[in-house]
Amino acid sequence: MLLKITRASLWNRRFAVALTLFTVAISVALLLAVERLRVETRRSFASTISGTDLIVGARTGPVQLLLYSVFRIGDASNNIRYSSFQELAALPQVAWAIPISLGDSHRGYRVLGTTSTYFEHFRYADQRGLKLARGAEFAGIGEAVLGAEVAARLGYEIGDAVVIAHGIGNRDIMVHDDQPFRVVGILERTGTPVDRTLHVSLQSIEAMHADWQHGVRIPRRPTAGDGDASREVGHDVHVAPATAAAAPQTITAVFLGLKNRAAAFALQRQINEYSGEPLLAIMPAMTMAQLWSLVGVAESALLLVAWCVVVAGLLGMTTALVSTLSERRREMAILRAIGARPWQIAALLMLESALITLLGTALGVSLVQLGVLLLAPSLSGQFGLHLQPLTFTLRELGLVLAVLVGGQIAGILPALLAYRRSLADGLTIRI
Amino acid sequence: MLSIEDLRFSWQPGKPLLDLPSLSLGAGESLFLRGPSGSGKSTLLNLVGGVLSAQSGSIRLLGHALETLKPRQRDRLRADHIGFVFQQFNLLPYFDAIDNVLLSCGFSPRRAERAGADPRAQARMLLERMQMDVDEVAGRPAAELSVGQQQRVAAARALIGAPELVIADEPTSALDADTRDDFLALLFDECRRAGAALLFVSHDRSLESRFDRSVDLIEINRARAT
Ligand SMILES: Nc1ncnc2c1ncn2[C@@H]1O[C@H](COP(=O)(O)OP(=O)(O)OP(=O)(O)O)[C@@H](O)[C@H]1O
Ligand SMILES: [Mg+2]
Repeated sequence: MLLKITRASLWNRRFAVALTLFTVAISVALLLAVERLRVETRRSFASTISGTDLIVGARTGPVQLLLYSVFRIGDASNNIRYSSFQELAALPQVAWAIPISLGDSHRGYRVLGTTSTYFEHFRYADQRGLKLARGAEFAGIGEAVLGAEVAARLGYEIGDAVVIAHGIGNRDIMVHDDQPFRVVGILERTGTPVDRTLHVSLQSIEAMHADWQHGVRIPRRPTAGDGDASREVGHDVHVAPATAAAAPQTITAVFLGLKNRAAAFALQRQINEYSGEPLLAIMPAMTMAQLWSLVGVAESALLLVAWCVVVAGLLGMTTALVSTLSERRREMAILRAIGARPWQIAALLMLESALITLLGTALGVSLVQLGVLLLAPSLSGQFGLHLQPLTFTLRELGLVLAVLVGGQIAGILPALLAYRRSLADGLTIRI
Repeated sequence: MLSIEDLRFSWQPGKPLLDLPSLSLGAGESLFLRGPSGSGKSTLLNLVGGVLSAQSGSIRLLGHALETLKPRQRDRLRADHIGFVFQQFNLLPYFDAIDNVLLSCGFSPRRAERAGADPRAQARMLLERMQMDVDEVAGRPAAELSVGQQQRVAAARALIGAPELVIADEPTSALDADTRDDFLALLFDECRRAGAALLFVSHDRSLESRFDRSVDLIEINRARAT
């Protein structure tokens, strides 16, 4: 009976009710959208690197090392010697070692010098390896393999020439324009910083920097020594330079994979105490957690704001219900005369708020699902966020339940007012 | 069936509104209760309906002393045994005529039971006896009905499930003379058919002659006399 009355009463005021319902729906949609993005951002963040047990770089802060070696954010303050890399790679605990060299860029995208071990051993997400979408790995000097986003955004194809700038930034005047690279391969999309990276061989980096020192071009002059001469050759004749590969002097960092993960702690200590030069070894998972605790504050703030919007939406509903009470006074008197108990009058109001929140929440959930369905392709393309359409996690269910409970709490005030008024008015119909 | 003894009621302490030594109503009897505006007629009906409690004295309804009952029991008693018709705005505006009549059964299982196997059919029959074109008004919100039609729907609602007492608080004062006479005739007929006593409040003395008995609240109320 009460439900029937509530339904008819809501339908009778359907326009105003629809507005309230939309307010609730939008706030719920916002809450769920923020939650979705939050979870997905965290997942995407955590899947940036996997399978690497230690990252070794010059001594600096752990977070900084992680930022520049994995996220391509910021710069290394110091490099490490190539000989240190060779020593690390030769350690008995080490299964594989990837050297990386950073410091150059192409139109805002970082250039990473490495070896073929990178394509072989680098893992992201759930132990996924890098795959070539087109072309092949770089084989010699002057060949580049592009991340998916670099290729897509800049419209590069296999065979195109790219010019690399020294340093980082879009408008760098110091351009290695005498060293154009040729695109030989394009990687599949990973949703990680790999997509925004150009990969070249360590030798290419070395050759490119042969006559650069401290980022300043030194006028070319005759040099003595065979090693230097060979480097000059590679420099001048940048066509077919493969024979002129120079040995790198320094690199930026090393990714290490161990034969036995359990050895990571011991090896980390051993590397940190290395006497050859000051080195820092970090365990990516631990430093990622450290970094996330910094980033996570913004994420929590966003969620808090979303909750505030929900509270505002529910308060709007309370206001709407309270404002109907005076015009519905005679309804209450009629119901009292018929024998309705005061709590039943209150229950009517509680039912109304329950129905509005329920329908509003259902609408909000549908809005989010629809939004994800429509936006998922572009989000995954642009930000590497893979939102799953038509899913509903346990956590989201928890949020929805919390909103429903909130709706009931918001219904308490109008219900209480109705209860008190129906007691005071009795059977007297007041207009 | 209804008997009131030494009933005292005041809204504010020290200003007694009602002080009734005795007033009674027999089963199936019709009583006309008159009195000027503000004399406490509606207040008395709230007391009989069990929505207000008197400061002292007793109201016995169908063998129950209201003052000894809990609010819940008084609400139950009202739902089961009393039908109300007010001056105006008797209906839920968003329900149609039939659903409005059925409201009484919705809050009282006893009256639902007494309305027979099919309360809906009973509601239609009562509306037809009240000379409503049921097919025409069915499905239309009550807000669209004329005031006279609304009062007849309210009477049907008060009568469904055969309550022992029908209380009408100036049910005709919003009606014109012809409508009023028709309405009264129908109300009387149906109360008689259901065996319900009728407590009818009005200040329109021209109606007085149709009732079994007439009482002036001013005359029986000691609070005003002194
Ligand atoms: N809820 C209330 N609180 C305080 N005083 C009230 C309340 N309801 C009624 N009164 C007072 O009680 C007195 C009687 O009111 P009541 O409504 O019973 O009169 P009535 O005889 O029904 O008048 P009318 O013929 O105009 O309907 C009035 O003076 C009124 O001011
Ligand atoms: Mg009155």
